[in-house]
Amino acid sequence: MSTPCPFCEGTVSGRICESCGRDRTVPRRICKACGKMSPKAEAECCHCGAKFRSEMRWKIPLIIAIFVFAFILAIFIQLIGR
Amino acid sequence: MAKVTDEQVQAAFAPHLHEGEELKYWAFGVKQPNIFLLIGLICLAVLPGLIAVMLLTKNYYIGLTNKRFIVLTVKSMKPEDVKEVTEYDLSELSSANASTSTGGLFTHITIKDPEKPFKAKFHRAFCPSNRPNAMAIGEAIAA
Repeated sequence: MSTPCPFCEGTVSGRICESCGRDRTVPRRICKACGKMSPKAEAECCHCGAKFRSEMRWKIPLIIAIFVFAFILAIFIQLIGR
Repeated sequence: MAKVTDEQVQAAFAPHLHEGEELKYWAFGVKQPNIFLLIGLICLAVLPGLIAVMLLTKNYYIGLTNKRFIVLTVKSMKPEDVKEVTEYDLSELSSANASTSTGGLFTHITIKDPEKPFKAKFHRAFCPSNRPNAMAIGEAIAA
């Protein structure tokens, strides 16, 4: 039985697509630039070449900044209270 | 809690379904960071800790069709904000690599797959059908 390939839109009869050579069952993500599916393991979109960036790139610095801000605010409130 | 309709979820899954495939059950779940990290962050500072936990929590919509178990990773509770898609053929899932358990509040579903592991918990209060659907999906994949 054939199913559509999520990456090249060809038809796949097994797990490996004959036209693009990719496993149709691998985890995939949606490219923000072109909106098409690309394997999660690939660093760039297989359609438009846009680079995928980890969400942790902005989440970790934001979390650190929130904690630093909270500590500075706590110290400031302590100083004002004296 | 969230107002997510069956139609919204069906629409989110529709582009990922094959011809003749029908979504039988769906459920919303989360995967929170490690419990020790969670406690540590909240002990350090309550409000920033809660914000950090919120930022580090992953949201999922899972769906069971007659052929596959599909996991949609979403940005928020909205089903239309799909970031990632993971699928498992039902033939490759069994009690050996998939397990489920139900507690007072949560239904836990775990898939031990070396290439695409999955673990999430599904709260009963998300919507009236969340708990029975999560339990039905869990039973189907761990059979």
